[in-house]
Amino acid sequence: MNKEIFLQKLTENLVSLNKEEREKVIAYYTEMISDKVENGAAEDAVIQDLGSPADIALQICAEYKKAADSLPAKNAGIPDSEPSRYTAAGDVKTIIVSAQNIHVDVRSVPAGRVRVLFDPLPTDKISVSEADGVYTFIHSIPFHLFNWFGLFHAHGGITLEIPESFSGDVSVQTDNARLTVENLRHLKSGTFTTDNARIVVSGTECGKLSAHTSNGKVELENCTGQTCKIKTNNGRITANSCTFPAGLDLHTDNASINADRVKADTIIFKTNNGSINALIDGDARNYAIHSHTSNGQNTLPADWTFPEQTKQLSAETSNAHIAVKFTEGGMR
Amino acid sequence: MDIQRKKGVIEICVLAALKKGPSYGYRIISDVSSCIEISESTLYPILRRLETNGIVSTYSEEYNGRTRKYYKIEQSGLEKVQAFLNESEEMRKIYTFVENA
Repeated sequence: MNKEIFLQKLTENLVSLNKEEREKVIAYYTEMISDKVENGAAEDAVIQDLGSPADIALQICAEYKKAADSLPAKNAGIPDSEPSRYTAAGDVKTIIVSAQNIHVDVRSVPAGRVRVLFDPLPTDKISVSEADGVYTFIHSIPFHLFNWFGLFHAHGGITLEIPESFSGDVSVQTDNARLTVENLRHLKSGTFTTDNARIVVSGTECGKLSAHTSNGKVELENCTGQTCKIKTNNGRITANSCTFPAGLDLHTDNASINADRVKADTIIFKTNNGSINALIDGDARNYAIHSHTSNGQNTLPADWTFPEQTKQLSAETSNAHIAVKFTEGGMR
Repeated sequence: MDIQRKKGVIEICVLAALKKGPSYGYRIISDVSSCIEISESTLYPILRRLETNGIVSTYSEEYNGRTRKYYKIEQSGLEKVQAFLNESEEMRKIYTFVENA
């Protein structure tokens, strides 16, 4: 393949880009080929090393699509930190996001402002307000347009970006769609709510963490803070490597609770028809223990209280086993 | 190296290649290649994004009867490089700790 044919094929394959962007790509490769040839390489070898025009175009278009999907868009180039339509203007201490039938991903960004990335459909109703340090983003679908059969939003989801410096309160709610929270640090409180879908919180440091769903599982991974309260039903709760000294409360129904390496002074595991499996990072002797199940093996004593004990563990279920161990003090 | 990590690091290397002065595609690849493997097709989206976000600015110059596009690092680009160096300092301490523990 010679230079002309390569560039022509590349142009053909970049058909999904607008003219201005396409011309920039061609200019880049034209210049690159000329420079390489000028520096002693043979044109044929240069073209071959670049790879197939189809593959190159695929890679470039994928980058554009990735950017276009995650931002409300002008499709100018490959945006990264362009402010979105829903960027907070001032100092934010409280974030409230409420959505309907759209999944929400909450993530931390190293710098910048609190903002929501979302590409609404014409039928979406959005209301954004900011006053006294409270940033509110509300998305809803007008009732008569609610698509009962396809409860999934045709578009992508909502992304809430919170800068690393933020240390206030966050409350995010959606329904019939998942909620994920990643790597938020030093939050004062975080309340995450959905229905009929799962919640996943990872790498997050939050004074008061609360997650509530129904018919969906909740997964916590590497989270720390003061207190953590999880409620679901018909959905399994998994909490791995979490530390909440002032209290860890995991409550579900008809599903198991699994807590691998959790550390807290007050622990409540409550479910029924589901097993409780946990490894508690701590000394068993410090815990006043109350546990109960029917029709299931139990590694814990039913009632074990001594005055010197400063911590509490309560594990309750039925029709399933309780397998709770401690890293120290017996019961391993 | 993990692919996502590599992508982030390549961007910083590209900015570093511009620290001493404006440069163009072929020379950027040549400079960065001495440290980390980078292909022309990987470089393009990075340069385009940096330009869109004002992290670098661009201008054209005539060279040997053809046009060459130059990339120049802007203040926000220098800040990104500095932030990376600060973070690397912290990583170095962690690395030393992990190695010696």
